[in-house]
Amino acid sequence: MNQATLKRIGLGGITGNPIAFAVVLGLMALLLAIPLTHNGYIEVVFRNILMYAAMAYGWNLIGGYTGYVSFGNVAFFGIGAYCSAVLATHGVDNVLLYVLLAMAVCAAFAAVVGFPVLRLKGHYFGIATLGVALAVADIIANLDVLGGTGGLALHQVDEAHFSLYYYAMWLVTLGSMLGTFFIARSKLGYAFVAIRENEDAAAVLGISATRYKIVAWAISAMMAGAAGAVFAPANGFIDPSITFAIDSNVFPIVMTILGGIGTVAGPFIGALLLAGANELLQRFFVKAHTLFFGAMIVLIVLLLPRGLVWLFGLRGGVRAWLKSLAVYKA
Amino acid sequence: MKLRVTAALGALALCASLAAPSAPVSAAGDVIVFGSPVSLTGNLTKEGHLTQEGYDLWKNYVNAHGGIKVAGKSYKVEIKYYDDESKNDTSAQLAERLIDQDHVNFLLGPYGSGTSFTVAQIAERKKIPMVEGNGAAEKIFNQGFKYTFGVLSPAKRYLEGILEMARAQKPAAQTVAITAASDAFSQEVAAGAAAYATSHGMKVVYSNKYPDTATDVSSIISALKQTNPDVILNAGHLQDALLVQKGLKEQNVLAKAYGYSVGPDTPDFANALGKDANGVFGGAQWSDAVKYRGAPGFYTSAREYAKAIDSTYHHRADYHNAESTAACLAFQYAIEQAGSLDPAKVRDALAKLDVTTFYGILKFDNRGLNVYKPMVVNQIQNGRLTTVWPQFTADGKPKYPTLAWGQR
Repeated sequence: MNQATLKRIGLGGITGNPIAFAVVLGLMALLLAIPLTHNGYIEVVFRNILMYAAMAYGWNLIGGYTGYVSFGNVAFFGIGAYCSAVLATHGVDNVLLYVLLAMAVCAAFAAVVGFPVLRLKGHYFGIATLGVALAVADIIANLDVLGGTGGLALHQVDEAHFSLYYYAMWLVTLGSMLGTFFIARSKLGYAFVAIRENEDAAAVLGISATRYKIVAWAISAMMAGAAGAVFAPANGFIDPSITFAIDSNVFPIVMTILGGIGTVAGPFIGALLLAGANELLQRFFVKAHTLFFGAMIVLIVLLLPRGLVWLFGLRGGVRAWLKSLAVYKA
Repeated sequence: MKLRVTAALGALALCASLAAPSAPVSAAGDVIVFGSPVSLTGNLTKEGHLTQEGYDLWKNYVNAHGGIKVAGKSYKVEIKYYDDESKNDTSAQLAERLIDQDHVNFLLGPYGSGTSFTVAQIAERKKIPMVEGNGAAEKIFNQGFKYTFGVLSPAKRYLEGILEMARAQKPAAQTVAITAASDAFSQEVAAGAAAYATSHGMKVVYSNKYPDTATDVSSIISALKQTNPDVILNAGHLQDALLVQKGLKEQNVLAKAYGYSVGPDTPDFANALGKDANGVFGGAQWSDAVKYRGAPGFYTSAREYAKAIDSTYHHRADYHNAESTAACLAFQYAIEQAGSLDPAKVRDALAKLDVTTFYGILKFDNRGLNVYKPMVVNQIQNGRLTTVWPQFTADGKPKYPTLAWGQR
């Protein structure tokens, strides 16, 4: 595969535009300072942005790089959250252990479920993954050991140490971001992209599609699961309606698409923009914020069909952008 | 290139504007600011609006009558609202914003048990007292929280009154079917009703739950119909009550009594169902027939309160209005008794509060729950909500057994 083809597939290479990635790394460094200057509510807002970003990275790996559009990644987020809750109810009070268990359980679950589900293609795969998410939520809602629909309360650290959850989420997001970067540049990443571009051709080249797809989904699951594992103690209470919320399923997908699908910078930029805008709209329009939010998503999809990251690689300014829109519409 | 710079600058600007502190709501001067994330959109919108009305009615009354007196000084009242979209985690996040960004003095509860639970956690961590009138699940009060107080009777009591009433009628009800939404509140309501029934010699012939987001419960209703129960109970909210009552009519399910935990009391129930709403029983925290004599400082009787709701919002006073107002009243009396706006002092005053209001007694057990106030049973008779149980507060007799569909 030559450089020109890669440029066409990803935007400016398999990891996306390098300037965009550098900007994102810079923003991540800035975010490290949030708890020092904005303790409390603002910290929670940015922690949620980081959480969505981690989930978006998870989705990007299977949906963006491998080309399998999953509507079920919220299942891993939920399973991760419940891993924390189970450990917490057994007296374990260590976020690192929460995350490790969640990643292990989610990877195992994705591998087991992926074995049959990843044999499906296109729409069928999407529907099957949605089914998986709904089934997991329903099973947990009916398990009384997991609190059923009533949910589980988790012990939280006190207010003075509360930033612990922020830093934990920051690390999860950084891990997901760098993980995506290195995976994309490795043989693994090329295999994922090969499957996305033409699965049959990939098989002819000797890539075991099923195996690589399972690996992609398992890694994807680990990212979402890790985010869930930190979310649970940070929120202090989880139930199926919180952990398997439609928002947590749809937002990461929309964020990735808005930011730039199949790039390393895209999920973070999408998460920052969408979650940030949602927050600001909520603040200024108490009642109509959902309306503006919807309108904003539609506008971005119409005006930037290739995602925001694409802007970083655009040559020729506004004129080129307008031209690209015409091409898109034709 | 220009676009690229714009994009990068845009991202930075967004970060900055999020991180920028918003000005506190409290204007200069003597104002006590309350904050509340309520359901202004989402599946609990109707109930959320009734909650807001209850809060606002109190605010307007207090401000028109000189405000709250704290150590000899009068304070006006302000309430800052956000829309929690009826989502538990959003509600908690907004509570955090109200405390950290808007610097509210105290929290008034959101609508619903799930949201109240997550907000209670924030109140506890930030040590800001919350009084809530709309989260009846006992789970909230079994966590050892010190800063959350609930003015309502616990969830398990919601349907007990209907069963008590049905047992006392002729012919006495002997069997009961219970359907319940899957949320924490509804599950506690259902469990409470089932426990009451079995401990009083009634038989639970059918019991099932459905997702709280369900829009079709017809399969549950046809299964229920097979068991031919005397009393049909639903533990849920307004949307559930409408769904079940319509379903029962469609499948022509006949019972001696139909009871709901939430629904019949809200004005929308009778509006939506017309004649089919007649005969339906609802468990209620309050009705305008209750006969308490309230302490001075607010409307002292249920009738006066109901009149105020009617003239301000042009609908009949609903118990969600009343319990929300009651939450405000708990704050009003506690703040006056504390003689301070210090959160810890107000919390202590709330824990010691013992005052009778138009809504009933406001007094909390050591968990913060008001177990001292009884509930009432209302029935829709000829389109009008009538309190029928317990007998000493009733303003009408229960119409029992309920007539067949089409004759109501």
